[in-house]
Amino acid sequence: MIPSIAWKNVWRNRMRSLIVMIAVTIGMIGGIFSSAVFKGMSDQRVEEAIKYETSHIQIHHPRFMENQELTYTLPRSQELAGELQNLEKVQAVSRRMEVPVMIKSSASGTGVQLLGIHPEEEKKVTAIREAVYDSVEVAGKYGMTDPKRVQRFLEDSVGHYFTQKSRSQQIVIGEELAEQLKVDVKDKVVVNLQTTEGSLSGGVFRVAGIYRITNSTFENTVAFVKKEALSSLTGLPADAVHELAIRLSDSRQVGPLVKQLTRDYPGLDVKSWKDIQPELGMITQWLDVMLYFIMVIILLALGFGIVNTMLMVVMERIKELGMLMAIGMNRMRVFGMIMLETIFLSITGGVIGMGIAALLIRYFGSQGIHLDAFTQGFEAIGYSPVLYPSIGVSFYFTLTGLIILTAIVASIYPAVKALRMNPAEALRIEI
Amino acid sequence: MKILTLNNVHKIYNESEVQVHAVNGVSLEFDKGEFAAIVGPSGSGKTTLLNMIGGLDQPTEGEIIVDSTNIGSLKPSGLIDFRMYNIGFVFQAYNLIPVLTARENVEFIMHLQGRPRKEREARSRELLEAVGLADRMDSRPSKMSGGQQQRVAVARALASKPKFVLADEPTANLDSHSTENLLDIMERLNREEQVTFIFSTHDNRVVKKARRVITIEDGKVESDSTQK
Repeated sequence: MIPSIAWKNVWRNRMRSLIVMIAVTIGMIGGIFSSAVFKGMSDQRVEEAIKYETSHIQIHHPRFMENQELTYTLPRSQELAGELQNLEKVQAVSRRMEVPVMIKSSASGTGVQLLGIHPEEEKKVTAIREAVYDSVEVAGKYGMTDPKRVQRFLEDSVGHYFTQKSRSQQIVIGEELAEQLKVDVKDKVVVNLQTTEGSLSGGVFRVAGIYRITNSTFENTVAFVKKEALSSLTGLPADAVHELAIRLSDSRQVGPLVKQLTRDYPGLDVKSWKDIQPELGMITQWLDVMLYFIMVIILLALGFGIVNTMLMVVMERIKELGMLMAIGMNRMRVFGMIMLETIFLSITGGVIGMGIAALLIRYFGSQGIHLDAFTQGFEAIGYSPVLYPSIGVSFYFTLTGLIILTAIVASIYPAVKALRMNPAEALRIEI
Repeated sequence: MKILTLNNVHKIYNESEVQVHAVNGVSLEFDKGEFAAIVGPSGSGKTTLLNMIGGLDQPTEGEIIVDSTNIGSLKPSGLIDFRMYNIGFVFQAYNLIPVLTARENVEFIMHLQGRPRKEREARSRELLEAVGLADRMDSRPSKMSGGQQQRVAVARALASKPKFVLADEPTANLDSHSTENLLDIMERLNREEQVTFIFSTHDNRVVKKARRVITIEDGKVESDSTQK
């Protein structure tokens, strides 16, 4: 009966309760939706980093990561790749050579990481293949407006991912690097590097394709060539491997598999994407904490509003509360009734807010939020300008708990105020 | 059979360093089935006296014994339970729970007592019929007249099967017709069901109906007389 009275009491001053509920609703929508945007952004970043950049797990010679010495290749790399490929959790393995080089065009030059790959293997592990664009967009970006020039440009500039034969060596570079070097598909670039013997070596490559992902730093610093081309430049054997990049069928298996591989191959350096790009792992972990922090701040602010409202409620009903205590409603029950009223008041707005936020997240989660105006800024830090908000179900459950907790805490002061009064005096008050 | 005894009861308030002797050495006894009015002008101490009898206020001195329990010796939490089981209240301003219907208002105290649902329903129906509100059971207080609300309050006061009912100026807000009606109902309940009523009032119509009239002035009993 007391819960029913508490619920009815919430609706006694309909307008006041509605105002509080609307405040809670708006607070929840704002908090949850912005949390989902941040969470979606970070999930997307992680997903894309895994998809294009790091893969799930990488294996190196234990000292390779220290200074990327050419000779730190993986022992029995071919067998190792085969063994890994046979593991149930592993979807694909790519054998890579990784060499720091200088790359130059007629316009400029810069240092990049050159990955020597087997294209057929690599495209199963990372999605750079899908990120190779023909140069239509690039033409526009270079300010080619003259239709004849664009036409000519388009005719002979179709990028590809090592799929077309060529007499010269091929290289796939990022769009950012292409812009810096002012090169386009079919243009030549020169690659300089140090061989295993310490002497300088160089080679001419033709740009086969230009890839475009959301991380412009990666675009600017990582280029791909066929592994045999890099082996002949460096003097490394054709089957030498610096890095095994592994893609799993289920990303939740990364942790367990890293443990298993570390145990099974004690002489090798096994790293998950979180170890390779620690800032990504940190972002995902800290983001969760930050999201709750945002919600706690919102709830704290709402909590003060709720305290204020409940104080008004108690003051207005002081005579009635006095009567209830006079006829035999004990303090615990009065306290419980006020607490329940506060919980009902808060949770109603909370549930409505969560419902609306869930719908918004669902809609924008599939349609995406397009922030085209900020494309450059987002891509510079590796984020996509199209955000897909997403948030786990557990967030809603935790949030419900937090709302109830806020309501309980917010009800304490008004309830204590109610309990402190003397029923005889309260009954005498004229309202 | 005595159900209530007041022995030399005093109540002193300290208001801004001036002592107010609101009740000054009152000794009274009440038997079961009385229909008594405590009368006196405003400020005579009758409400204070009634509050102490009802366990809402503690005497500064003296003792109040309800059915062999000295209510001055009870702790605040014990006092709340004591009130719930032993004393029925009717207030001047009716003080019903506005969000509950007449029937729910009557049932509420039985709910606090932990009585089973069936018993609550049967008794609330019986009591509301007794106060002539069989047809208004599902109305909320805001839909009822003052007289009807006060009748619900009487039914509520009786719902807990108290030793006696305390009514603080129950007719003060009622018109003469409602007053007559309410008094008739209370008198009938008193006569037929031996419910003990103790009123505070300065309404002559109530005084006339009372069988015992206790006059209070300046916190003291001026007269205590029985009338037909």
